[in-house]
Amino acid sequence: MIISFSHVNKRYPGGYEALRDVSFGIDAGEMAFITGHSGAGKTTLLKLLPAIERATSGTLLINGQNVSALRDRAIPFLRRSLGLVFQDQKLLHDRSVFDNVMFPLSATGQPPREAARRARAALDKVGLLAREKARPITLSGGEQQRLCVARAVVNRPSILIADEPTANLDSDSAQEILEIFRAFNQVGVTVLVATHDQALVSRYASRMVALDHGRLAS
Amino acid sequence: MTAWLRHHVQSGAASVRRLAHAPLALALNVVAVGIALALPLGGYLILENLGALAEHVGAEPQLSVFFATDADKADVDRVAAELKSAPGVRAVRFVPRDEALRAIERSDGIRDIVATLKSNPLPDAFIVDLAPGRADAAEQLAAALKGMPKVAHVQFDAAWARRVEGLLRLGRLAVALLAAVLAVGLVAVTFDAVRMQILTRRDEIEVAGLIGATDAYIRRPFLYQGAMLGLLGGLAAAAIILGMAALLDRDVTDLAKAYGSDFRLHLLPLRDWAAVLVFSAVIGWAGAYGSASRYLHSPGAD
Repeated sequence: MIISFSHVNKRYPGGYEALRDVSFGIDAGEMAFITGHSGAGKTTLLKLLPAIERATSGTLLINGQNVSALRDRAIPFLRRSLGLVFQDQKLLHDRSVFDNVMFPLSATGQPPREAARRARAALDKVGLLAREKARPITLSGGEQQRLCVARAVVNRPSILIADEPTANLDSDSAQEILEIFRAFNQVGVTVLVATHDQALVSRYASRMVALDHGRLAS
Repeated sequence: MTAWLRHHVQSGAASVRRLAHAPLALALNVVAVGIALALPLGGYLILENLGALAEHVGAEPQLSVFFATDADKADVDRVAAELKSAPGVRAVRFVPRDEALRAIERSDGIRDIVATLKSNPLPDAFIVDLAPGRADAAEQLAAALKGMPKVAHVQFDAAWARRVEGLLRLGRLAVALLAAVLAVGLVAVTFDAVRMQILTRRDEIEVAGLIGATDAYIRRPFLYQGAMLGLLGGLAAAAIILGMAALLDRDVTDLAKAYGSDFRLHLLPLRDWAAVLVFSAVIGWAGAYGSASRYLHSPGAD
């Protein structure tokens, strides 16, 4: 198993319990959907993986590494092995499409020439190579989301994590995004997608992890 | 290693660009840092000049040893040996009684009186130049000399030397305190300037953290900015002080001339200026470090 949750609880300051006794595992190379109503704990669950949030109790292993016990200094290196697509995108609007994709590479000290090559390869995979000089704000919603995916995969992560990547997209664009995820999954990347859109994911014969009020639904 | 070096170069270049990008904010910050630094720097310059002036007008302590008229060479040699081994003695001049008498004979009016004398009433004497700032040692020396055989009188103006020394010491302490207080102020100025920079770039900082950039990486460009701000402030302070000194120089020289002195305002040695620039850059760096670290640990705090 590449990801393993074992009796994980997450209680936010103030007492709100976002996750209760969550235990499940994801195999390497698997593509899985985290589903559930809004507020079910999907985002919290995904935030535990890159240690944006820490579990209150329980154990979370990624590649055998205990994320719950990770020292702060080790977190950046954990995050480099993960590709993250955020619910609110977090694109940098003061720079070009190309520079957005370059950002994770330069921030982790990749040599510029190799980084540029990889950034273009990532843009090519999501079909945005022709728009590399554009500003993110001039892209359509679907294109912006594809840009987020390119940025997430440019570091060649073994695990791709996306939080509601299709939330604000029309069904064609949403379909496109999921196809891109599937393409990455087919070359061996473990993919974990949180979504509330049951209809969309029911078309895929993928693993579903359903959350209900912070608990795994049977 | 090369990635690390590359990032230092990039951070340095990027902070120059960012500083140049907001020239008004930069100018205001540099002026604030510059003026805050100029106060203790100016105080230091004034003190250095007062110290030099004190030496110039002879505040340098001097001690005179007069022997009894029946002192012989052995007595004189004993005192000479004592002076040689004493600390804080800069120069010793022996004035034999005959020479002293000849010196007096040279002055008009006294010559006639001297001519009436049957024997030389003047004693042998030592005139001792002491290093400034060692009033204690000088007093001890004076006491020791007083106790030596055939030493009739030791003249040492301790009060004057002590007063000058005390004033200079007090002034230096005041400047040091002023510098310490203003250093805290400078940290605050750069802290806030860098905080502004951080707030305008918080999206980038957030994303950098989420994609696995280390705190050191995120902090680095801000440290460069803080250090550069400090350095520019240090240059501004130097310019302010040099400008003021240039304006004052003529008047000081004229005033000194009126007192029959060739005293001139003198500026600090290059080493001191270099120390000011290093100090201001370090202060700026420290402010930036505090600011960036605070933001990284609690981004939502303000």
